[in-house]
Amino acid sequence: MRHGPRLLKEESGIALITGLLILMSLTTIGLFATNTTIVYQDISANLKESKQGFYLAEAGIQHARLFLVQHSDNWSSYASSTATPLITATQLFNLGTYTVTVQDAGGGGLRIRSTGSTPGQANVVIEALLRRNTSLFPCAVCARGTIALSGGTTTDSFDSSVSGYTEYNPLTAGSNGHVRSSNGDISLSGDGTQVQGNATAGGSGTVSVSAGATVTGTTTNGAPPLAFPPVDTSPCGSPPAYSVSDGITGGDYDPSTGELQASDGTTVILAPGTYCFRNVKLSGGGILQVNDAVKIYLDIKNSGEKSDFAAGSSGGVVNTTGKAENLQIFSLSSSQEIKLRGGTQVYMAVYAPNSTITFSGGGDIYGAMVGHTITDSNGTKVHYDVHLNSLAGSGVVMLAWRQVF
Amino acid sequence: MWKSEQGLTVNELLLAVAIVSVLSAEAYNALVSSSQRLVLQNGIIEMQTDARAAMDFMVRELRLAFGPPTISTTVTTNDTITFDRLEDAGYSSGSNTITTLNDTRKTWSSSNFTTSYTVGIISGTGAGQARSISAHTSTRLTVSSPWDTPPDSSSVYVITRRKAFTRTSASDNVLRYTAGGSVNQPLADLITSHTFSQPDAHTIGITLTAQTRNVDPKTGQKRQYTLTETVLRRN
Repeated sequence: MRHGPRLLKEESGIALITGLLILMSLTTIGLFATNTTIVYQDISANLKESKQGFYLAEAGIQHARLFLVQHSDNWSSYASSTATPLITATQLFNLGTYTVTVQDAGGGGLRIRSTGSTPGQANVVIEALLRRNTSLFPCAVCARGTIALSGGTTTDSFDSSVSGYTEYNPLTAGSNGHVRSSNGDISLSGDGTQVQGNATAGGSGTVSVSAGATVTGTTTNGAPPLAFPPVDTSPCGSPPAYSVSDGITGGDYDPSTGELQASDGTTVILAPGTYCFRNVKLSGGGILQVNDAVKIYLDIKNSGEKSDFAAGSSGGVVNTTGKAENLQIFSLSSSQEIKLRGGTQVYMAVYAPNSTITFSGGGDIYGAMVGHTITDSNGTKVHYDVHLNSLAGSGVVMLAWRQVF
Repeated sequence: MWKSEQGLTVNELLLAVAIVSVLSAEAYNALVSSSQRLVLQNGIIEMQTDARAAMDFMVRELRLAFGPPTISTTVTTNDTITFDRLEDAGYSSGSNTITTLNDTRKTWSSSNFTTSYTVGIISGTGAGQARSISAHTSTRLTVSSPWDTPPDSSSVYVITRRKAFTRTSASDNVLRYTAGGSVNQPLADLITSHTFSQPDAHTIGITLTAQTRNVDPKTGQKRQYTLTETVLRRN
């Protein structure tokens, strides 16, 4: 038997060696690519975790803010000197949890700190500084002194930011038609007189409900006094500079005296904006109409003058927007009398904590009123627009927000 | 098998060499092609990672902008955004002098704030004033010039630092980040262009385009990647 050289004898193995070499190279490349992919997958996963943590922490801030809005009566009880749990660990589906603590920030403010934690152990912390601004219109009928409602006067509530009152009816209307005095008696009497909400008398005042009248909510005597935030006088100036005639159509207006009148069935239309008047008098079917956001400030130039808003025995206010926030009336003097008249489009909010408010003609008023004393014996139906309680600048305001880490 | 023991003819050897050459050439092509694809894919991932990291950082920072930012042009249109980043906030605890502001609830460390930080009063007594911080302790800030109206315990203050995202050259593809108004630090490379916009008072729009470091061997051009984000300013 002949024996050739070993290499030549097994030349057919070269295909195996070549194949192995190629496979090794491809495997190396494959492993390298897999490794790179894993690294970048980790980077993406970390990015996802951190974003998830951030949104969890944000959810905690929003939850805490809403909680404080709903419990704003207890605001001061949350002002502890050390961080105290406000929202305990709350699971959000399978995304992770958030926890919120609260602490006194001084000056009536609260500092809330929300921690969002994901299952992957990513923690994001967000801190916010909150302040509670007292609402100008916290109830349907609010008075510094006494409130006397009789003759079938009713209060209930709706939310104009959700729908108009026509979407409600007396059965579905909200029960936030609260009547509140700061330091004075509340007297409810006569058949059909009803407060669909709470009747709360502050200071030394008491609530008296005689036969025929009802309060659907609670009746409280001797509650803490109400805060009446000061009105910003800058739109009028001091002494007041009455508005010029621009934007006022119809009616009779004298810029020198600040007297606006509509009588004998005339309609005065105010363009959107802010106005400063001394008097507004509507008589003989005269109508004050607004079609967009209007604020009216009433003030006197000289002591001894009077500054009234009189809706008269017929006619009255027409707010075509269907939202009380679009007709806000502020009184800046104490020598003032507000006479209101209900109607189908009387959407208005009156802030006159130093003035007497009376009503005529029954009818509906959609909004809120704040006066010194408030009296109605004509069965006016007051539909409190709860949206007025959360107008810009009122409620819980976030002063600063920051992501700590 | 037994026949091969007779040895190889030249023809057999040439045929074997030819077959091995063809197989090797195919294998080489496959290797080169795989390698190029790997390099390209790595380049694309690097570009996307750079772009996302830069975008994520800018979004985080711009969320903290206090007040409206200023958008301007340095190299390309609207490529610079300057803003005051909120660093801290609170109510003063009172007992302030004409050059100090106290907050006894804080525990600032000694290196927290340098002279590039500003303290402003946003509400309460002395609202509307802003001063540079010249020194501070753990609970007290000293301002560089006296307050017109010293703040009291009703005053809400914010501490901010001026920052900016910008670029300094049209060719270096580097997105830069400025803190305190003086230093241009590179934030991300491979960024060929970016623009800022303000669709409304509280919203900031960011668009940036990144490109790969190397060209795509198939097309002979660099790959590009564009990201767009909208940031809601919280303060």
